[in-house]
Amino acid sequence: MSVGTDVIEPRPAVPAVEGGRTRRRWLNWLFVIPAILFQFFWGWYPMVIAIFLSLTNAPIRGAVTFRGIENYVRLASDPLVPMAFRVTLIYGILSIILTFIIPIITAILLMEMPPKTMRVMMILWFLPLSGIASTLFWQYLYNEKFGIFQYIATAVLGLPPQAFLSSERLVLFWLIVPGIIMYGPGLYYIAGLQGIPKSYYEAAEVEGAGFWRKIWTISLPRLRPIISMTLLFSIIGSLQEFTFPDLMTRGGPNGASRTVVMYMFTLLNNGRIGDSTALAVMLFALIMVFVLVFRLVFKSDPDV
Amino acid sequence: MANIRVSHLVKQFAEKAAVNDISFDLGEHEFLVLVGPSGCGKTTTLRMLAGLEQASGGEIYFGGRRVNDIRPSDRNVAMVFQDYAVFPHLTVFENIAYGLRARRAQSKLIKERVVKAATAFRIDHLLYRKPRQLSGGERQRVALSRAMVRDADLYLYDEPLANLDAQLRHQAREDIMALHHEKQSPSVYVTHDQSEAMAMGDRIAVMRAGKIEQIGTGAQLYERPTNLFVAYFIGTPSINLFDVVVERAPEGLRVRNAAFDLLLPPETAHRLEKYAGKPVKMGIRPEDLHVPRLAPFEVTENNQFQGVINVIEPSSTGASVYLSTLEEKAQDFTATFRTRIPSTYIGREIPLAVHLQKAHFFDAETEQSILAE
Repeated sequence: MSVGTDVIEPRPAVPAVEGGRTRRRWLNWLFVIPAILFQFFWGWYPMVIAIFLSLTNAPIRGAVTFRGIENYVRLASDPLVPMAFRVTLIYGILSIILTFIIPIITAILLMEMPPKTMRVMMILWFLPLSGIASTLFWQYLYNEKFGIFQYIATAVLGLPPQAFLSSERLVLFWLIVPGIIMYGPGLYYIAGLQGIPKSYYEAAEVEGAGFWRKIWTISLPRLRPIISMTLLFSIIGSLQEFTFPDLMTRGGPNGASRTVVMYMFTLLNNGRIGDSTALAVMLFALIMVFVLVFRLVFKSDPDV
Repeated sequence: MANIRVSHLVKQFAEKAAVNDISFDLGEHEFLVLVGPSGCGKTTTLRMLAGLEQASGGEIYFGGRRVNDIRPSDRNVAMVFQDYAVFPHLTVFENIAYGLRARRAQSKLIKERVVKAATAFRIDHLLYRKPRQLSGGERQRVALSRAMVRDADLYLYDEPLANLDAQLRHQAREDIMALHHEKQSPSVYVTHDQSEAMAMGDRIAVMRAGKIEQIGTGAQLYERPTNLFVAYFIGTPSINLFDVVVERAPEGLRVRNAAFDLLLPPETAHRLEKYAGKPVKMGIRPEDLHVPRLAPFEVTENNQFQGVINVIEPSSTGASVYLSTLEEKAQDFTATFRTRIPSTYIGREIPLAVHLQKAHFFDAETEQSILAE
């Protein structure tokens, strides 16, 4: 017997019509099937095929013959492969350090500004820019003879002429710089910060917390889910970088900016499909390792 | 410990003055309640005391020190927020310890104080839980513990009971009073609930439209309201207000309207002397209307009138009775009796004895009390 008067009687979830349950299940599948088909044809199927092809001679025409790990052995002796992996890792780490941390700091500082200033700054920061057009624009900025960066380096700072994108040592760094400005997960952080109740900050202030303590004990913990999501996406994204370095440098100078995906593309163009898929499988394994490590380190926290 | 002094405080928001020239003093151990309808400026006043809102004019002094330009973190106040502002990502322990950590207290001291405060509010078994796992009442006690753990110069409460259900509210009131007795520091408590204000405040400031209408003890506000607003705001059910005309008669001054004709007692009459022939507003508290045979004073033709019962609301000690006067444009009023009235009385006409010594009179235009001068 129930004590309260406001106990809601459990109602049957399915209309008590004959065949109602089957129809509901059928409808559920109808909605889910497009996504499953999409995942299947553009995700799982290519992945399985790639793993399979990487173990064959993968000819464009003629019979497919099983070759075991021959492709992998050949890649292992190719000096360009470790070089591409090195470039990819450096590129990934640099871009995460520069394009991941800076937007968080910027977003937090933006929130401290008066609302009017903040709105103007946000428009500037999140201007919708076309990827390829602004990439070409960046090429001009980096131009060694008449680019504005060269002007700043020589005329303003009085430095010797800089090589920028033709420097083997620094090309990766210069490739990341545009990302600081153009790649903006900052909007997510702003949205996240705006969702934090004001009273948390006020309580912290009354309790004696200064600016840094408020950021460290309130802003960052509250942003944690967004931070972990964007971090995961930027790890995956930066390890698969292709378009931007390809447009800017074509992998040069001397392969100093040739990422794994770019080398895969080269192999493919040379008709070495088996080697290309083997390289793809290796990159896939590397990314999976990173994602697993990430999942172990960044446990999801239900309290946030 | 400091005395708090607020002088001519103003807060201007764009066009509107949220707080418009208020002044009060707060004694060393005093518990002051700011009460008023929503939008009256009570929370804004509290936030200016905390430093969360910059005053547009006037001064705030903590023990002689002007604090207008001092940041909240340097004012040494403790505040309990309406939504508690308990940090969800920190354990109960870390929430309570937050202020001590911000002030770089030693970890041994922190542990000692946090446990003591948590024990006082019966949440010592929850120290390592996250707020998500706590009930609303428990979260509120975390907020109280966080306030208790430090020795603040001023304790501020922003409607801390508003989100609790009636049962918990009583308990939380006791907890807050316990905190106050422990700390003996000046406290300012904001609420819109006048019964809460009456129960808790050493003194109560009734606010309306950015101004303090009256400040005094609960008894003063109840028995000697300086104006109609305070009289109406304090007390449940609210005071009954009647438009009456003061008239001179051979036996003294009478107050008259379509429903009744009452003879004023001499001590009230001489105050109303200059209103003879003029309209005034008469206020009678529901408990000053009595069933004639139970009235604690002599009932004559001169202090009673008739009413018809519309609704009877039994209470634990008697009944609240909602009545109307008998004239054509009947006026509703309320009486609280210390005796039970059977529901068969609904619709019946009964005589009511008025305790005229306790009646309030207000100027019809200024709405200021005529008796309080």
